[in-house]
Amino acid sequence: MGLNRNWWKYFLGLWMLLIILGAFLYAPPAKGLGETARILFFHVPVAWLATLAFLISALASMQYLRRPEKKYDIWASSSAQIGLIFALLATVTGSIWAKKIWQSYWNWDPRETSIFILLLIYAAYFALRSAVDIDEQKAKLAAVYSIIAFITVPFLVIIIPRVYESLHPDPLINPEGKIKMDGRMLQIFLGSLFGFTLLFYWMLRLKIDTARTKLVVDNLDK
Amino acid sequence: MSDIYVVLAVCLLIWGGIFFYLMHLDKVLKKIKQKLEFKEDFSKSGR
Repeated sequence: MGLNRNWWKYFLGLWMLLIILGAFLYAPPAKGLGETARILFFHVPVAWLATLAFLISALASMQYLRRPEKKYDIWASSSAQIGLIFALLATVTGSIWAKKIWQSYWNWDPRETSIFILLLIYAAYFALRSAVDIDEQKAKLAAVYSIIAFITVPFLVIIIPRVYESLHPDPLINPEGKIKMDGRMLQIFLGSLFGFTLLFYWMLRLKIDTARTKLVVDNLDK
Repeated sequence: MSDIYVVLAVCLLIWGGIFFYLMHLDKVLKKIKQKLEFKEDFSKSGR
């Protein structure tokens, strides 16, 4: 009997269940930050996935400009959509944490300001897509925009928050290249990173399949 | 009940919702694809 093709989806369901339980019941509270720091098991992976999604979008856009095939445009827009959702989730989880630690949901801290600009940049990507009616023209313009938009990502995510004074906790990997984290916290954190990446893969596959199916249905109607 | 258990319950609920919604989407999409394949086969057969 062959393995069910959906086995990895059930595995992910169970994996994330264990990660959530582990984040609250197994990992100890962080030194100096207390129980609220448990949000990092969700906040950091979604922020990482937003960056990964925007990178995939930029790579697919480059591929589209090289070979203008519809599938690359679908990859680029699907990945950017999911990236925007993850960036929003990173903002919301960060804001909840800020309320607990800084007593305010929004402080215009360099981290908050940079993610706000990033959200605006990628929201504009979809505004651009919806403003152009001709498919080829839309795909071409969006591809150029997505590449330019991604150039800002390293500045907004990595450089600006490190150049300006910020209340945000230090990055997980410190300047010496080491991760300062309790062993049990690190286990849950890496497990969460893996789980969220698998979730992103599932969402991306679904989004691409939906877009392709819509294309086939549209062609049938013509 | 301690606050941490409330947050845990909310997180589990959210994950359950996301998981079952994605599974549902997966099923619906599979059905649509099967229907489309059937339609294509049907039109290819010239009927």
